[in-house]
Amino acid sequence: MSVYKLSLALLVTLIGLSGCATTNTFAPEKKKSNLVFNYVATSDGDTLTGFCPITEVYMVMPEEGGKVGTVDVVLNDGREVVLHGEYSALNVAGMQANTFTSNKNEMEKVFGEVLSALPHAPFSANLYFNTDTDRLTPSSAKEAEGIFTNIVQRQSVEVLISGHTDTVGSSASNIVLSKKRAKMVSNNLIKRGVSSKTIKISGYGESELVVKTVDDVDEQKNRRVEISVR
Amino acid sequence: MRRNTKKLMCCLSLILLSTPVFAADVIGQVKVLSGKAFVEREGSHIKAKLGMAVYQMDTVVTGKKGSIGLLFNDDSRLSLGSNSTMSLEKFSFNKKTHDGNFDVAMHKGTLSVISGKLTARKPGSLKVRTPAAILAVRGTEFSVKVDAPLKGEQ
Repeated sequence: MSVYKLSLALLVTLIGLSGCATTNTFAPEKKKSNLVFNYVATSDGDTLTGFCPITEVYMVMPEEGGKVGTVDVVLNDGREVVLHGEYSALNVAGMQANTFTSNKNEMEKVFGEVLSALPHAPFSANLYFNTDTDRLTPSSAKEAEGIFTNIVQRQSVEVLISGHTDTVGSSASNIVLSKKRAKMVSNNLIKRGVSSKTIKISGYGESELVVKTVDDVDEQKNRRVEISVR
Repeated sequence: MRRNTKKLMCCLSLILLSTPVFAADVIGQVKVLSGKAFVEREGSHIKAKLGMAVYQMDTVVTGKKGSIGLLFNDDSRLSLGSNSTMSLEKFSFNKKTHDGNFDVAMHKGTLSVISGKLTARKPGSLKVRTPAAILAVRGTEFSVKVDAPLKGEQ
């Protein structure tokens, strides 16, 4: 035990003297030392035979919609830590591992850059049309604005647009109408600057009904385009 | 002449057959990019581009001012900040059952993760290995910072 304590103290001293760029502050002074000391924490010698110990931070991010994040951490020496809930965090410096609760400011400071590089979530949505037209219903027109804005914000995007109709009219004319609906949405995106290469459109006519009906039934839920965005 | 053609065909098919089939399936795509980032694949160093596919066993590296965001087949999302290195060690995902595993090795820098359908199906199926630990993600958003140990005096 005392040997362990001693070696830990030695290690701490050495870290303090080595001038490591670590987030922990064991020692206030930053004197340089000529001591040669290799600290190997795991078998991954190539990355770890440096002068400084491993310094790592893990942090659970805040989430929307009442979701709570959980990460199970198993350290190389077998110790287990469960991080649960927003800003729950663990700091590892050499053999020291300390849990702490972070905050928004600290998160922005340490992870602001990497968080801003996260891609937008893929999503799909339906937009609905007035009978026998490629005009969106008022509420879908409103919703479409949000969807289009979201798509335009993406650096790299794939958009699948499939048009559908209800069973009013002949199935041949409904194929044409469904393609027209998909095309309308696609044109709108292209007008806003989305590359046509990233958009795939198709028209299924009345072949894929959301609400199953017999022929010649006016059904709002079937008059739609389905948009899938990745 | 005909025999020659046959020989040629034979040679060609041999060459095709002997080409190592590496990382056949696309596992994700580059969706966000800023500054310089690279993908190391089978010993080659490829400049990352938006929309570019990534494969199992790829190592993703960012430069001093680089950052990159990746979207994977199970909808999980990973991003790297500047001066970062990460390997996509293993990715398997069954589109129907959502079963599979995703193992990432984080060597240095900053990583953010939003887990997807894999962890929704089975918590812990996304794992991040760092020099100091293994992190099993139950869900869904977290970040990791690994300071590369400095060599000698800096």
